[in-house]
Amino acid sequence: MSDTHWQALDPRVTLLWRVQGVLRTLVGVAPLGVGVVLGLTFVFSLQPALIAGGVLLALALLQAVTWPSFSWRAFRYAVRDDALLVQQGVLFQHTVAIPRHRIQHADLRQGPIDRAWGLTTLVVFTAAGAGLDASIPGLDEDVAEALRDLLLKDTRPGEGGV
Amino acid sequence: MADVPAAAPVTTEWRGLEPASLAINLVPDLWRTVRTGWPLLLAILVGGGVRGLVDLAFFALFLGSSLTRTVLHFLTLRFRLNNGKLEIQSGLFGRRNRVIDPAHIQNTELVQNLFHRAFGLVELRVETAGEGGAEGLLSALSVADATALQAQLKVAATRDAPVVGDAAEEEIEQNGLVEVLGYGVSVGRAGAALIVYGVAQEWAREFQPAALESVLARPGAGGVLLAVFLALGYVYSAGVSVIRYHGFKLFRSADGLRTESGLFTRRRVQIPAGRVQLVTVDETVLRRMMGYATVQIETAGSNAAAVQQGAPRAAASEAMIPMVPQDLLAEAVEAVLPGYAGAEALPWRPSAPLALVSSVLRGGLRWTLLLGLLGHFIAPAVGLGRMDVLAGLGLLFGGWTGWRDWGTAGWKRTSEVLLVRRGFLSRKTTVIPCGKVQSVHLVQGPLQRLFGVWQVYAWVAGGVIATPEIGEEDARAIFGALGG
Repeated sequence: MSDTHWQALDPRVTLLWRVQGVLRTLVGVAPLGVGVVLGLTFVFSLQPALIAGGVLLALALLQAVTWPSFSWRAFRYAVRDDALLVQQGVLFQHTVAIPRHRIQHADLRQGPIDRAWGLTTLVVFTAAGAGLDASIPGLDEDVAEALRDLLLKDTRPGEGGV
Repeated sequence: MADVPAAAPVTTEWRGLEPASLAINLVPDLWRTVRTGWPLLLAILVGGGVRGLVDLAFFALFLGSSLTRTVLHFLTLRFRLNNGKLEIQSGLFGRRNRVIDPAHIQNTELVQNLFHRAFGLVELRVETAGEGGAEGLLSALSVADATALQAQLKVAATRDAPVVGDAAEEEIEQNGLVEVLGYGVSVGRAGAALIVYGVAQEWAREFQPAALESVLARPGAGGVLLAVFLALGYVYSAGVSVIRYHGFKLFRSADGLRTESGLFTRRRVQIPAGRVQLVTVDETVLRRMMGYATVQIETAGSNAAAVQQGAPRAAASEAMIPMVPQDLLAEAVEAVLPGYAGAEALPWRPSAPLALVSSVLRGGLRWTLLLGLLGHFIAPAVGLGRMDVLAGLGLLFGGWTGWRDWGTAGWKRTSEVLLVRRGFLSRKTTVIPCGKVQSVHLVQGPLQRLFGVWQVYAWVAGGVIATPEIGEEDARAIFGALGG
């Protein structure tokens, strides 16, 4: 992979991930925190229970705010003549290579927050099945479209089809 | 076997199903309806049986909806070859028209259940590399029509390439009744039998406590009862195996592979040449002791999705050779996946030395839990008293199997195939053709980073192969070779 020209994601994606992380925390972890507080009030008084719940929520929010920087640094992608490569993961490092002639189709996806920042996720599919291939989040809309067109331009069925 | 010119694309008239499909399809459709609406049916039956017009109306609704669907299916399903492509249309209100390019067909299957046999008909299933289920399903054709259509699709699939004429078939494997029974026994239903035993005992404790007490009061009765359940589990497994694989035969021709099996429902699976994506050689302990192995064959049909959804790989395989004698194994796998024999001669490359630690930990944990639960819950239930010491034995045994698993795990690669072997007690060897790899993944978790080991996952359209934990140099070499 020495001739591989790695590209980083648009730095704005860290902000997007932070917002998504905070929202996820408030929706997912906060009710859990309330449950923990209520549970602890049966064992301790209200004050230590509230402190425990607060600490739990603060840790979750801290993780939601800081983790995206690490994720952004670990995430990179490269388009070679023969393959698309995507590398990601802070704790679990994961690099995927998809031979370009194996790409079946590619989707551009935008949620409401992505749209607000003008960012797009490119999802690449092969015949191995949905969800098993690669996705590149946080691409500028124009970059994502150009990348999709580039990936689909030269794809040709491999010998013997699938 | 001379080359003949490619045939021109064929267009045929629209055709429909045989009228007997009304009888053939009604029972399966009714069964599907019952399965969907079983809570309602149960409520009617448990709630006092059929009472007057209301209950009868519900039954009529179930029967009527099945009957309507079956009739509509017969009346509206039409198929033809259109410029060499299979076109199927169906539906009255929601029309559906599907065109299947024969070049994308992964396998075709002829299925004959008891109803088909009674009417001399057959069901033709056509699978492409789609997401699930047969893409083309023609449920009741005459055997001659189905065979002719299968042959036309085969010709159309090769229209851009020289058609190999005169594809004589050669039988390369067959299983007798003893081998099929052996396969059933070696599948291993001990776990399922234990669960059934536990449930049955709980039921008896709840509803027939006196009878259970009197049975278990006899010395050794619990153990005998458990043995009976275990034996029944094996009998059931052997019975299922005979029903599914009776008269198994595997044929090879220039066109590809064909299997034939089944006691009541006869399945004939056709796999075009070059469509095999993944082969698994499954050697359970019992099977190895009998001197056999099972070979499972995957194409890019729906089965990867089925396996992901939790279906056992053997049940989801497109085709399988239930029992292959060990001394003929290499020859059989080479027939299914050319290139295997070249790798067979190579030595296995081992797992990384530090992967031994995680293997021993995994084995120890697995067997401690299994034997611990057995000693704590099952042993008292069969009158042996609590045997928590089994958990300690599990730790020792599991550690030992972990060590042996690590020693067995290995991989090897040629320019044509990648092979991975795992499991000391129950051994599995997986083979994929390198040219079929869809994506390749290089993975390292935090613990693996600590030990400096990696794993490579290679996805093909029929499944995935995962190497054991190996060193960085080997992992990157495989990743580089398969990923471009």
